Amino acid sequence: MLQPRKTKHRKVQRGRMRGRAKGGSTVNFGDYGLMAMEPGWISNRQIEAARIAMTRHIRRGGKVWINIFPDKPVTKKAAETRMGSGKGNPEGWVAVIKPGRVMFELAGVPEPLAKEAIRLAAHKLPLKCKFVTREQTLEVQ
Amino acid sequence: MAEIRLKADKRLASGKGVARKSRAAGRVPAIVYGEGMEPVAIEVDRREFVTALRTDAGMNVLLDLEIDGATTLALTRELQRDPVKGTLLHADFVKVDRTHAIELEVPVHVVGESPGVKEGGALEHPLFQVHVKCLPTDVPESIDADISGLGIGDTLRVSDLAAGRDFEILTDPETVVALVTAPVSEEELVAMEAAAAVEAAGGAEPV
Repeated sequence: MLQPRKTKHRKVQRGRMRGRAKGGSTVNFGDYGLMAMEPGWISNRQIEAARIAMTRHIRRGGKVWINIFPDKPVTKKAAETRMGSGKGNPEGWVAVIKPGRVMFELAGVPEPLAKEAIRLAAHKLPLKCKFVTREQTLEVQ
Repeated sequence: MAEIRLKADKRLASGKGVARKSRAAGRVPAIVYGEGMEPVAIEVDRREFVTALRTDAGMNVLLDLEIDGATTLALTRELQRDPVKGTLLHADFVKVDRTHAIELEVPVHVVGESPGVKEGGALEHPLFQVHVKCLPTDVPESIDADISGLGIGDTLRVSDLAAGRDFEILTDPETVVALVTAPVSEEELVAMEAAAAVEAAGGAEPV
């Protein structure tokens, strides 16, 4: 699963997720993508589940890109622990996602197959997402 | 290439409040700059500008910006858009001279049917645009990448693209535009899945 090789700090503050994606909002490598429509944290397990769902569906021929990386450690207090006594232990890694972020990209497969693969991947994620094409992410209104 | 006339007004005030009001009124804050002129903050009509961008030339459309009665020939250098809605937030225009060559990105379109794809190979298209040098009036709308000669394992490079008489391609000629890869066999697929599973299980715990 994806995780940093080394980090500067073991624990970090949770932060806020205001605003929209500052970058990574276009399909750059493939033809289709999965765009986040709301902010949230995506764990490395969820990224892996989405990747497996996608690659299993497209079988061979296609190519998948993961544009997000879970570089933020999340902590959890042990069960049945009273409040206080400091921050909990690091338990996993998450990627911070803001609306407009293209999280996965896909190429080399026909559109209906890509759409279904991306739908399956979206079901593994804790955010509202949508299927986008390269042209849609460059279009201006 | 056709030129599109676009009426622009000078912006007298700046800041996010003014810009938001301008956007709400159906206008797009923009700036025009270039050689021999001071940057000028302007605003253009959103609908007119979007119509100009939807021509075949796309982003490379040549614009005749009418600012306070004077006309400036310009190209769109950068667009800022809302990542979710796609609405235009801001545009950068660069002043160009008809007699001076410019460098810009031109889209590459794949045309034809590859025999390798018919045999089951997968077409990869890693390069979507090339860097081109030409006069502002000779900008090609797109450059065709003909893949009809590509079998499995073959690659099409920038050097294989049909260069026009009016423009010069500056992208490295060895850069791959398209390639057809062999289909993944059932055994390879199983091996890839197994490798991914091992990798998934092997990650170290957070420290």
